[in-house]
Amino acid sequence: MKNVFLFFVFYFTCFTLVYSQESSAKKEHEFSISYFGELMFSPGIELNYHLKLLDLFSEESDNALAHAIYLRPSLTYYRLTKYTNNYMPSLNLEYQFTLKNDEKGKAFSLAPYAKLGYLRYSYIGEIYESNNKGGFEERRNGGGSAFVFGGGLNLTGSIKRTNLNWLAGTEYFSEVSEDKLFINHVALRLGLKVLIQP
Amino acid sequence: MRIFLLFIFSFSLLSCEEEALFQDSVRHNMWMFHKGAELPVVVEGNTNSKVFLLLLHGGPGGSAQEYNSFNNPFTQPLEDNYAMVYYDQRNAGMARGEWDPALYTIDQHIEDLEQIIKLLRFKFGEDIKLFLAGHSWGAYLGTAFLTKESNQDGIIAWLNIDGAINRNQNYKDRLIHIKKIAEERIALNSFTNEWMAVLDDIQLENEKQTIQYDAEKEKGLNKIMSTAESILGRSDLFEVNVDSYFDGIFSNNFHPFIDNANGFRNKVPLINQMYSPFDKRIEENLFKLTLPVFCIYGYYDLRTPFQQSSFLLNAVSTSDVEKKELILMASGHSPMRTQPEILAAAIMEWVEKYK
Repeated sequence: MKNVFLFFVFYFTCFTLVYSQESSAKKEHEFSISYFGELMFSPGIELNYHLKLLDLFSEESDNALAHAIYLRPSLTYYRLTKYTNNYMPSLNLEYQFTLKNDEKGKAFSLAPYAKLGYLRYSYIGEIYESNNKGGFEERRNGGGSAFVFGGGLNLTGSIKRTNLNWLAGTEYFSEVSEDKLFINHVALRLGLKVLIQP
Repeated sequence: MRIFLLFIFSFSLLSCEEEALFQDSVRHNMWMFHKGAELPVVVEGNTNSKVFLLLLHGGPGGSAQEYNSFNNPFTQPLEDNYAMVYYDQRNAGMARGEWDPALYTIDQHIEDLEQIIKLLRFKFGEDIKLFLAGHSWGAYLGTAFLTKESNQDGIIAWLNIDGAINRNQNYKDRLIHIKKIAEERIALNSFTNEWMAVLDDIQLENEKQTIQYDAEKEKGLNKIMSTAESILGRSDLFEVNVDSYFDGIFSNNFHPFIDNANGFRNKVPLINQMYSPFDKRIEENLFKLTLPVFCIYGYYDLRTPFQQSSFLLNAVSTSDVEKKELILMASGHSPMRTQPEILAAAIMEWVEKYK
């Protein structure tokens, strides 16, 4: 699994270096912040930076179709209130298909993506570890970590003639636990995406 | 970024809540690390009562957190009066930690339980009154624990809910009980053809004349039992009373996928340990038990028929007045799902007598 992770990091790094050269002229930055609900209602928050790597195709008309590939580093925190706090940095490779009407200032995007990340969970509650003397010692921290992989689908739509978009999505990721179990996770997100043009 | 930090700060504050140890209604979330296992231990309910009822889950591979998350009609009345202790066993339910097949043994499960009890006394004091309860495999584990050395000394009384006390005998009891239920249902004209097919399968199983079952040999009878359970399930005999999916997953944070992943462990070695050496070891030591014993079984329990109750009660040295048996006529293997209020009321009446 480590080799797969390293391969992806290497791949994303190369991809970013190559294509960021081409897109650097636009100097636009897109961020999003969203509610991240694992199993819908285990609450969390997610921050994303949407880095456009490649414009694949775009029609120059009022009603245009656009295709683009994005690299989306994200930082996610969610909480199973009675068990664990969970932190997950990840990289998401996103293919975004956009329908836009420049005249009305409307846009709607569909973006399936693949995800690779790292999940760290820390236990909620008191942690006791048995010791050699037949007693217990209280530990401050406990938990584990695992690589995760998965994918999802994001929908975005413009909010009138602003640089704001609503964002909704669903995500599946699998945690490859320390003891080689595959633990499934399903999440929903709901948030805002903002485009910053200097 | 500020908003994000504010969220993180708010969530962190929530995680810093510290509950007083003894209250009429409280939940203590704990984790016990022992020999690679990281076991969630939840103490919930009335800790002021100083009466602790430790409930061992079934399986192997079930989850006590599942009872707490989905069987509120059963657990809530008990929590109102006593402190309920739910812990998920090694590599089961919501437990995390290492998977070491060498430690996935009944001896290790007994040791884990000994540690849990030590932890409860360490945390809540030596004066707590500890009752032990086990459902299904949990009852097997509990019996194995109690018959080891002086373990019963720290326990006030033992509650066996639909437990298979002797796995080999349990499979023989299954053959008898499934046949009996099939004949009863046929007499009532309920799913006659399907029950007839079950009787045919039992006949074939009987012809094998199995004396000693094991994980491989029990597969055929497991299949017959599943078919029979499925017919019973369609016969409107039980009224299921459990919490909604929303309550279980979203309010109580039960994570079905962690439980599900743990469910894929290879349990065959553990099952075979029950057949040998534990069936014999338990049977030889049951006479040492002198604590009060209460056996509760569902009449329609085809997994662990109520004949196992007699097996246990006839073998222990507990005085007759401290032996009790209850057969729930509208329940199968999990009365906490089908007759939760009656089950809880019976347990409370019994605990009140000995607390």
